[in-house]
This record gives sequence, structure tokens and C-alpha cells, in this order.
Amino acid sequence: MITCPNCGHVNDSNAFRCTNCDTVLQQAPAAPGPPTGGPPTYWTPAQVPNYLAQAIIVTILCCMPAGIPAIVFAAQSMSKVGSGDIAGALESAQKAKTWCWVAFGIGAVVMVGYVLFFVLAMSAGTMTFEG
Amino acid sequence: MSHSHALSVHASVTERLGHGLLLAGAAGSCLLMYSIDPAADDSPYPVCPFLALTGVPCPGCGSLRATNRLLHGDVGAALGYNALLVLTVPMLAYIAVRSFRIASGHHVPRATMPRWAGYTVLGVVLLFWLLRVIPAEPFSALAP
Repeated sequence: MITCPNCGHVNDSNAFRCTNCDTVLQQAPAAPGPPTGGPPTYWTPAQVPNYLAQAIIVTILCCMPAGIPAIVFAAQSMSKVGSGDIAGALESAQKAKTWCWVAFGIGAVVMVGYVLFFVLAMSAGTMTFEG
Repeated sequence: MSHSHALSVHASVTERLGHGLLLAGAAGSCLLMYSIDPAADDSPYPVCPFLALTGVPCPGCGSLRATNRLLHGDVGAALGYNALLVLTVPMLAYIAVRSFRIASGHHVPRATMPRWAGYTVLGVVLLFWLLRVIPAEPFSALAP
């Protein structure tokens, strides 16, 4: 969205002239500036997502060794940010995210599956549990 | 996340909803973990699949029992079930406070961590795992 500096009319962000008063809205070529939406095309170190907390949570709270690779990739990503390798850091962060979901998914499937089994066994009433 | 977030003072509706749901889920889980004793013989919780398959505890084993004890204020018993879980409490508290602030409309910038924090966490988790599977004193104190 671009607001016309002349009349205040709101135009599409790619509009060259204001549809209301015809004032030129953009200089060609467009001045470089921060993108207005979507993922930034240039990432600063502070913008690289960090999945360390999620990795710790799936490893410890979800009881999942599949969380270990998530910690490895999160650590790798943080180390790469530190050494200025932003592209590599983003790649590792993506892998960390994937492993977080894998660990969470396995944990969720086990939990839901077990509860379903428990409920079915209870309602069937024929099974006995021995501790 | 777009650039504009770095400048905005308010969290977006999606962010607020997401963090609100996260908090509600966490509160519900805490209530469940508080009221159902996972250490009871008739506990409805499953055994850790890794432990069931291998016979060896994973780094997360005992965290459910530890959380239950922690919610009842018994830090000693919680440490006995899973010491790492007790270590994560400050982090979880930070996340809860941050989510609460975002859910109530504030913009909270992403926390920055030192570059060595990742590998330190990895080392601590692997060391804890290694020590807790050693079936001898004093390491068995770390077993779930």
C-alpha cells in the first residue's frame, strides 16, 4: 500500500501514479528499502530464527531422542550466525525446525495412540492390566 | 517474520492468538500433570517409546513425573526423576512471561543468545544422558 503524498489516496504498493490525482508515486527504478512483506531477502544475524528452545523442549518434555538432532542443528545454526555465515545458519535453522517437528510428531502420535488404545481397552472391558 | 516487526510496538493479531493458545495449552497441560500422578501403578500415561524399545532411558525420561512433583512443590523428588527438567524451568518461565506479554498486545523482540549456547546445551544433554545410563552410584541418582 502506498499513500499518495499529494491527496492521501491509498494505492496499490506497485502503483506508479496515484489513481486519484495522478501524482507520481514511485521513482524508477524503485529505491532500495526494506521489503514490506514476506521473508526478508537480506537477513541480519538477529533475524535468523533460533530453534534451540524448541529443541530442548521436545528433547526433555516430549521424551524424544529425535530432539537431539534438533539441538545439534540449532547449535550449528547459532555457531554459523556467530561466524557470519548467514546462508548456512538459515539452512541449519531449517533442519533444526524440521527435527523439532519430527520429534514432536512422534511424541504426539505415541501419546494419542496410547490414549486411544487405553480408552478402547477400557470400553472393551475384557483386558486386564498388570503393573 | 517481516522487517516491519522490528519497528512495530504491537504484536499482530495472529501472534497474540498463537501465544494465547500456547499459554492456554501449557496451563491445561500443567493442570493435567498436576492432577494425574504418572508414578501411580494405574497411570494412564505411556512409557517412553525409546525406553520401551531399547531398555535404556532417554534424556527426557522421568520428565512427566518430575513435572508432577515440581507442580506439587517437591523440588527434591523432581530432581531425582529428571534433573534436566528442573534446569529448564527458568527458560520455560521466560517463555511463559514472553508469551503472556505478546498475547496481551506487546511487541517483545526475539531474545539473543551467545553463539556458544547451542553447543553447551548439546554437551550438557549428552553428558546427562551418558551419566544416567551408568547403572552405578552416584550416577544412578540421575536415572529416572
